[in-house]
Amino acid sequence: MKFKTDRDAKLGYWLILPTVVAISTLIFYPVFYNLWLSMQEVNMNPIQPNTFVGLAHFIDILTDLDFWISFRTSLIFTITTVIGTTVLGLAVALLLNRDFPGRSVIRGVILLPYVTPVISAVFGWKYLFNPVFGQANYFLVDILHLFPQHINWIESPAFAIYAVIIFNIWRNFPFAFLMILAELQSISASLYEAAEVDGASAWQKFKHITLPELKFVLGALVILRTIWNFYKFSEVYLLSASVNVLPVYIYEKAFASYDFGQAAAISAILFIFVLGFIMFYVKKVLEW
Amino acid sequence: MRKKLFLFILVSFLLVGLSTSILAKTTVEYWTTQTEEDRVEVINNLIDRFEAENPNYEINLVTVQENDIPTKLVAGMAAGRLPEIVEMGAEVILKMGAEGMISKADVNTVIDKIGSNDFFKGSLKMLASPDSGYYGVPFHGWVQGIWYREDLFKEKGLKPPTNWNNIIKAAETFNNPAEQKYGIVIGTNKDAYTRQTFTQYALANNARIFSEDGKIIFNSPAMIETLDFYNRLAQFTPPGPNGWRDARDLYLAGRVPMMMYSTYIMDDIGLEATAYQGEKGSIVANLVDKTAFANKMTQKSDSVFGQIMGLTFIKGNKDDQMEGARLFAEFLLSGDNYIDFLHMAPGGMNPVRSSIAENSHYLDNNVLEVWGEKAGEIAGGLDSIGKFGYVAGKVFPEIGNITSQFIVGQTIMKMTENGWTAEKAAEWGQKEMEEAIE
Repeated sequence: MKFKTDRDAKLGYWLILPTVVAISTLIFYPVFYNLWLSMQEVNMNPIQPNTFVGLAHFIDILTDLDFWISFRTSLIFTITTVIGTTVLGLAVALLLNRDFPGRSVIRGVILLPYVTPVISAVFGWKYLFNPVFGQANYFLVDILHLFPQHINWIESPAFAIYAVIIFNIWRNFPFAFLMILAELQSISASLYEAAEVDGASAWQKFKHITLPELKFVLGALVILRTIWNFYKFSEVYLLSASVNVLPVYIYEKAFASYDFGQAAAISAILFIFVLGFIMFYVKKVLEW
Repeated sequence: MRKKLFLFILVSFLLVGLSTSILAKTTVEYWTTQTEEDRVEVINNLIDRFEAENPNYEINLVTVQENDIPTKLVAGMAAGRLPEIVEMGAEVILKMGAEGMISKADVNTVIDKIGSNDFFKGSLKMLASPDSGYYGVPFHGWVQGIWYREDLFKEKGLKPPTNWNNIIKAAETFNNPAEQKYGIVIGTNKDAYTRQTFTQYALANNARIFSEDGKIIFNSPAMIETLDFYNRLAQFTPPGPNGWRDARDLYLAGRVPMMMYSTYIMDDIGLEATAYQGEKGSIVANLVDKTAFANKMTQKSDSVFGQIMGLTFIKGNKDDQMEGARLFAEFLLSGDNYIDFLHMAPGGMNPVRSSIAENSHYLDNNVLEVWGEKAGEIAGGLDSIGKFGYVAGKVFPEIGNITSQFIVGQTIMKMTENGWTAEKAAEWGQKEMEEAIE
């Protein structure tokens, strides 16, 4: 490749300069700073210098059992919530894609979980699942007698992961719903009419018309939600400190153990992992 | 015409710039752990009063949740943007002191100016630096203990919960999970509250985290014995990990007859007996008269736990800002300003200056009157507080690394949530603590 130097090209360089500067300062600088940090023993006192430790942090992390436990928790959380939000969003979108009185009101109401500030939603759920006063325990234990005694759904490490998954699906399915509904409305009715003439069942229409038409929006939803949820911190940590997904693990390394270098190394590992996943997914699943 | 207009604008800009630079105030940033809205209002009023008296200074108030302090400090350090003056617990101040972040000269100046004889000795001890002088100016303090329903204890013929045997016996008697009533609330979560409640049991059993020469001795037989007792007691707590909010809510609602809490509960319990018109929730009627406080726990020895909050100054800020910070600290600790500050949580915040503790204006408060003589006895505990970071007159600031990772709370959760034995949990805690202070 050769750089053009004529007048038009020079003007062109000037025009793209702001973008280049913005991307370099906002994206490249933090990424490289993070990589640099991951090879340092960071000193908390800004006056004292850091020490270079090479790949020591990476070796420490990859041989640390806690990291792999967190990694597993993150995978479970991401896979279940991605499937959950997409399937629930799809189901609700299909249900609400037909005409009935009050449809627009219902569609608006469905969006509420997504637009409620996360902290207010979290406090609502905390009371819902409170071990003593909560309605969940009242219903499941006192009325249905499904469990022998009240359970601390939110704080007990054994149950908290379920609470966090359910909360995340509840909160994020409206996004999938919105995207899928928009796509559904653009599918031409004539396709379904033609299928009906051929005697296709409801399932066949769904499988051969709706799903193929939705392929790209579903594919985009899955990859976006995977990226978002793999790095999800707020919704997990605010609801329960007992679910140690990777972002929480990084947070505790950086801010409770004061180990910025290790925390940076973990984010570098995650970055490589997620990048690999995206490249595989885009190529093989989306076939772009 | 155009030129004239341009000149006019230019000159007025210059004038505005000039006048602001003359009027520019020195900004002093103040961090506090008082995050409740009504307390922030009290502090803001005090700030207004200070700024009226000292027009050269502007105080910038930042509120920080107690459990978030380690995080915020690290972020502030990394960004090179730390406040001039902070109000924080003794351990955090010690940790900052050990990292060389505190301006001891400013701290000592303020203590001398107020008069070190007027501070309770116990409170100064908590903020002493290992070599000499102080890392922080004592500001106010609370005492922790078991708050219990005297009426229900009498009804069942139980003895006050002042030793392990009495405590677990009462907890077992009252525990009735089928009706969502439980024996006691103690900390069983990964938080500061759990370390605080556990400390009192450990110190009563002469179990320590540090030996006199600064080694971690968390796996000592005395500590294992304490962990084991704590685990057995935790059977009678509400399901899952519990924190301070559970203790407070369940006690006020009459679901537990005992819980561990600081003197800050006096405000919550006492309000009902005053002419307070605000939201009360469903609090047990006449709870003040039914409540007693066991602040001393006796097993192998006596233990009292509490916290001293101190004010301290961060190095590396400008001289005029530090002067403003010192002035503000003196302002907060003197006369009516100090009393107004303490009255934002009457009973909870206890004075560390003896002249204020006896001041009639300080005692003239609805909640303190409701508690009557009990209030005096409670504040008396402040002088005999014991903590993990202090052994035989020595201070171990390394405790800050252990508290910031909530290792004590995590150790307890290993037993209560994962079913580990006390021995296994103690070994785990020992290893984590050794790593934390490396």
